[in-house]
Amino acid sequence: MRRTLHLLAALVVGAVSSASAQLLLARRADTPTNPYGLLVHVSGLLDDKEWSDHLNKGYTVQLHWFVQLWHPGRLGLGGAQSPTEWDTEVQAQITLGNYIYTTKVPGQVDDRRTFSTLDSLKAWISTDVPLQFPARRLESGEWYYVVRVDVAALTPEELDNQVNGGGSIASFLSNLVARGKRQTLTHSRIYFTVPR
Amino acid sequence: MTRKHSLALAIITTVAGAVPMLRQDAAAQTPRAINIGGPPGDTAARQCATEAIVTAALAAFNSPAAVHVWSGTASIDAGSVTRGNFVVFRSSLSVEGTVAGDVIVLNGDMRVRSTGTVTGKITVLGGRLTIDAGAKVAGKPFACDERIALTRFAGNTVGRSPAGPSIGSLRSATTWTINDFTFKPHLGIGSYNRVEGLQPQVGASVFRPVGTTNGLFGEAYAIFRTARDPSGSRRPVGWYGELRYTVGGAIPWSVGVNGGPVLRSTIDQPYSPLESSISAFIFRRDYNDWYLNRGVKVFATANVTRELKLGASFEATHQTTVLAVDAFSLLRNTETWRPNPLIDDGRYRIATGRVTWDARDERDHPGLTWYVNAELRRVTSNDLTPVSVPSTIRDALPVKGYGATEGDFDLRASLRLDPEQRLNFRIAGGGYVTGNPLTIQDRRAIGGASPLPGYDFRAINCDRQRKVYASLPALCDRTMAVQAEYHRMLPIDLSTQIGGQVVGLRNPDFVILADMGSAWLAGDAPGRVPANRIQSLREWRSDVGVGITSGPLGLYLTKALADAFPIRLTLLLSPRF
Repeated sequence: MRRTLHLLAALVVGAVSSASAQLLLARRADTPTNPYGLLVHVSGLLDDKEWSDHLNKGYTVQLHWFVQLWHPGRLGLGGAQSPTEWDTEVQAQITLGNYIYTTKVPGQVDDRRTFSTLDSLKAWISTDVPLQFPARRLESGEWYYVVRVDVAALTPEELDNQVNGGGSIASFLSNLVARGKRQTLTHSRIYFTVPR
Repeated sequence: MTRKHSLALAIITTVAGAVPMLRQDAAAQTPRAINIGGPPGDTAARQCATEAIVTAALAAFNSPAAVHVWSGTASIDAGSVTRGNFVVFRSSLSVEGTVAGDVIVLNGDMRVRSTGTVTGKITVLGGRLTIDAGAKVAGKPFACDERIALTRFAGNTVGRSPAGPSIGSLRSATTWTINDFTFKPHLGIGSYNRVEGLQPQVGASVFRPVGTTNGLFGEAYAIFRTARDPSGSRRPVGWYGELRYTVGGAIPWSVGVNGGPVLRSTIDQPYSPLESSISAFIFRRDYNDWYLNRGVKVFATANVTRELKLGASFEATHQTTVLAVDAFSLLRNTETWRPNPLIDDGRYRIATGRVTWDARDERDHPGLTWYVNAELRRVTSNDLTPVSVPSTIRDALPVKGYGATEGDFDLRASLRLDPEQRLNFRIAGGGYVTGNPLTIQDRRAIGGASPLPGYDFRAINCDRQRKVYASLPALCDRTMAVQAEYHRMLPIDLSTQIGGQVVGLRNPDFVILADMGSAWLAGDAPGRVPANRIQSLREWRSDVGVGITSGPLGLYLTKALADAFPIRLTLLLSPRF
């Protein structure tokens, strides 16, 4: 029943932008317990030969998610709310014959899952991740979501450096010359209206 | 992403009910929900591996007797036997045969299959351990999947990664502990300048934890000045030492003392230390002026809240002039360096108070971010040898009973207009407040990278005689500037793949900027602005420009308005503000 409600209430508000967001999918999904919620996922990532090659060569494919809610004021400007950010990492363990998918949310224990086939991993990656809206009353008016995903193929050394942090200019320069593929996926604004 | 790949990927329309069905092992799993507005920023450390466990694992890993596997894949085939400790770094290990010894896997997974045997202890850090039914494992294995920042060092040892990609790798590799004291070498290169040249620093630091939240930190190092100084204005070797006690808790604070004979930059610094160092080393353009500071400073700081920081210090110091020498530079080696200005030599006592409100973390302050810094200093001296300066610039300083108060303020705001656009504002100033006129080392100018990049270095320096001084010293009492920037993120990818490397920038910001500012002499004499006023806005200089920024890098084209300076191209390695 809940799933049915969830699906029936799903609202298609945003559209996939034409040139740069082929992979990133985000849509509104309302449920009685989570009004103004959002579903996000990346589709077709490992169907891209470059990404799957990187995965099979031992790179970790990392997706850094950035979701921000906006409540624009006059002239449609301003109104940014605190963003939500988290990482997901995909790794192939050739020796062990499996794939690891790890979700890293700040302040929470990592969520790590194992998949025995590439197909099952692909299916999982293209599964919607529900974003729970904060339990607070929204002001009436127009709101919109912005979703961005930075995808990167990272070497073990680069992963370690991320754990370790690093100076701004040093990390910037190392990012200028990266060993693996980098891509940023953005989604056009996903609007919704909160009634009075 | 290339166009070829863009076309190869299907654009999937999201329609109601079109949730992809899971297959195989994914089907039994539930997606993890993410809370919007959940805990920002600080990742709660999950300490499944204690420091003692990591230290023991690293010691065992670095044993020369162990069989090492470095990245790639590792497997012990069925029927084969490996004797001795087996250690793996950044790799996954599959054991189907026998390991007659301990196994350590760092930042990788391990699986002992049904036919596998491990006679020693298994330790897996930064990965997962799977033991199949039927596998034989002696002892109690330990596994912690929290990834650890580790680095492979020269000599094929592994240690904790240092706090940055640098010379610090050596520090991390040579850390040693005696009782509760942790010792580390201090190795640095300082900032390159025309007085010292390169200044390698060699020393050591020590840390001793006190209780669970407090700690005592000490550091001392020698500074080797590679540029020879025949005049003897400073010694070829300097040193610096610091002792600091830090207290954790709800309001972290620290007190300490530092000092030593070190070179210090005068207060006018239009470029960051890194920019000035690179400019000096490559182009023979040192944009800072230097003096020798031999003193002792007692200081205290407190982080009252996440945003609010307070600081105070008292310093007793002897400041003396040093001379520019024939330091090396990559280019323009036939040119002489800009002379290092004379300063007002003397023994000073400097009391400083500082308050900072830093609310620039967009996670906590997503719409409008603020930064406010205010500092007040009281400088006194009873042993002063002032340099001669024309009375049109400065009244004569007393040799005893000198006392001046000066201050600085810096207010910045950044307003996010929408996800792609941002407005930045800044108003900043500083200088003379009350008392005797400022010393040379505390005087200011405008021109250079900040705040008016459209003007040449110290173009407004209050030198009434128009560059009579080849050293181009900053001579003004006060400065004030207002800056504004409009940023728009450009949805373009300026990166390309060269061999196995991705090189370039993605989504840089296009910037339109405008600045106004001035520097002036304060006082009642002719040509000065009364101390209770700022200079008339009609006298202020201004510039406009455009730029491209990405991360800390920025490339700007700027033009001074109403002054005959050509368009200037400026590359900065840090944000303008």
